[in-house]
Amino acid sequence: MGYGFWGRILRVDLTGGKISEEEIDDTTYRLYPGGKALAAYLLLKNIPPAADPLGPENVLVLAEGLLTGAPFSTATRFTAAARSPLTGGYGESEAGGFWGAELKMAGWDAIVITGRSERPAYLRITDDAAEIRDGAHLWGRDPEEVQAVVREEVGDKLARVLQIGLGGENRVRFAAITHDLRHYNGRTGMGAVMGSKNLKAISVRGSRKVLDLACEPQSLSELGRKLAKQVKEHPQSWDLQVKGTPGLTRGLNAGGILPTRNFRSGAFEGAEDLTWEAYEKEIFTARRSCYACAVRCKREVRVADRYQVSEAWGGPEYETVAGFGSDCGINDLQAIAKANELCGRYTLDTISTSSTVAFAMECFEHGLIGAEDTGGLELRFGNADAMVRAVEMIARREHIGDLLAEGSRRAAAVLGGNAAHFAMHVKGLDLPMHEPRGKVGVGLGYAVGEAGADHLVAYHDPALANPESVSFKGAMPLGITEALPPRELSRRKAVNYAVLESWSSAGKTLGMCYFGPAPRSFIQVEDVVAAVRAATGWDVTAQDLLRVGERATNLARVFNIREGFSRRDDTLPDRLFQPLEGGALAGVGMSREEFERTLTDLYEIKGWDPVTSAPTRRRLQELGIEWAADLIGAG
Amino acid sequence: MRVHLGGHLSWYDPGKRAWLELDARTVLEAGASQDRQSGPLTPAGVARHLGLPRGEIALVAVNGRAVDPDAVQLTPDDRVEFYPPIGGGESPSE
Repeated sequence: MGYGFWGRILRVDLTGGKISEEEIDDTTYRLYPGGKALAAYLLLKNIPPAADPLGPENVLVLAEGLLTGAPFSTATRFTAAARSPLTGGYGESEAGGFWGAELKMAGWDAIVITGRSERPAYLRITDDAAEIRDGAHLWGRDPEEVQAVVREEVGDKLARVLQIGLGGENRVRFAAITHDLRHYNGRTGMGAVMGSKNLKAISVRGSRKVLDLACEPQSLSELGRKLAKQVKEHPQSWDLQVKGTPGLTRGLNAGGILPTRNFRSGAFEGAEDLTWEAYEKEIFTARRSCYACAVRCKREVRVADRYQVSEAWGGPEYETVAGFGSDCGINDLQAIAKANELCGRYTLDTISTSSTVAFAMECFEHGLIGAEDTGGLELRFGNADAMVRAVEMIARREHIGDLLAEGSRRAAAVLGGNAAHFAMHVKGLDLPMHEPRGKVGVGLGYAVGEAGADHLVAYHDPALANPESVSFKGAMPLGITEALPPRELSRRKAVNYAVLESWSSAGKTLGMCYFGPAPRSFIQVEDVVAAVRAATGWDVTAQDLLRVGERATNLARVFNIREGFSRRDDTLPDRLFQPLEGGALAGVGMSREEFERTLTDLYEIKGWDPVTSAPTRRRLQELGIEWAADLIGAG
Repeated sequence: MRVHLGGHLSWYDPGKRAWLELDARTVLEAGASQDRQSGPLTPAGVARHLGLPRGEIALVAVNGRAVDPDAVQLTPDDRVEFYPPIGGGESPSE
């Protein structure tokens, strides 16, 4: 074992009821140093090809990042990964909060969960000790109750409880995992995988100090203190703290890139009611944080009027405000807060849930769904009560909710007609609330993202459009030299995209939040490198970290190729190639020709086959993972 | 004139304000006295008056419409909004 990691993984075989420990040596950890990289490696090594995502052969990996748990702002995250029941491909979702740090304090780098428990179970981890416990009495119960019961049973009020609610139990294909009731591994249906394994919860408590693991604890600690001070001194982190992610709504609306009514328009007439000022006035109660993070961008909300919303579940982020708001044609923040609370209570991904509701609304307006399917609900754009009720129906699989719980892609195939045109997804994963027609690099990311449409696979074009901007300057140490217009889709854009995708992937591997490192926020590239050096003692550079990120992306890509994915899956919904109907970019659509040409350029830059999108053996060799080429017969 | 500093642009205001009222004549006079500006008042002139770094302004809207910040003449009743690269978009240029 080296510095910065424990060198051991907890293996949990739910079928056999067995727990064991597996070592990771220094060489392996250097190649896959936590989070996304370690998870992708473990998935490929443990999941057989063509495994049923909801069957016992699927494997759920939970892996904290290399820096997770260090006293270093935004280094809070851990990855949940498995074959996705929503996409059939590489499934991955990161969460911040406290659970990842606690797992690291307990002395584990990751958990690998295999098989399926015969009866509902939960897992208890207290430092080295781990046990599978009967969880039948927890099944069907609300996460708030489950957290209290589990903490009582393990005799520790401070135990961190990771769990699924009704959505995960009912295997809603976009079910999330929550911990502390307010942090979520939201995307790609990891909650459904947990539900399919009859695993209700994982309680973790650790007593080790993560800083003691570091090669140079003093340096890491000093760096952490320096960054904590910088939060208020840097415009981008200051903004996140003061306004939170809901601070995005007004500007995106003004720019014509606020997804509205299922991505038909880029501006919403009710946007003024969805701004951060409205949020503060109507629902906000407090700011919250993740482990050791000075940014404090999380929100807590309460509503005591028509919709009763408890502060226990955390407040809606921008994605949720726009998803249940403008994208559903709704300007009622209280209803949005209620939908957010229900997604927390039932552990549903707010992005996929809201997008699926918007899809259903468009289907309803086109007669593909009728009131007889919705239990009498008029599921139209702008109907806030119907939107809130639709979330309930999905979690409980009632009426049309049973079909919608399969995800918009599957639902569209059953509904027929124009429904497929209304399903805004890539590879089955619904689009986040960022409009590619105004920032085409985001569209490139949606298309090639191995997990499906993910807004965090790269950095958004406007941040890199002006060479004088703080964000552009922050990206220069990565080798970004050309500032490019947000709507330019070109080989130059693909060059920038490839670098930034690797940087984002490295962040997911290190356990850093997207709101930490430059170019998005306040932590400079050199400080990220310094933190990795202090934690591990490795003589790394920014280029080495980019390589780590690229390696992780290639492993995820190999996973998909093994499951039969190809270039045809790296695409975008047709609607994005049509003109926007309203807002500052009305009439603007993406060019399919430019998109396909840039995709070919990107594959070439990444060393991937332009026809199949598979990494070449040579590229995998260069990345030190030739073994992965054998899995897909790469030439 | 009502001015909005969107996203992290309000960090550059000494009072960290997101909304402020400006007197158009004051802005013009201040610009002229510093030999920075003469003639009609534009959003770019307002940005200079407020000390907003040019590199941080990605989108400017006047009365809800995205505009070219150098090409639009403002009137005292206008509402001017400035947005940074993150959480904005891009201004049209002429």
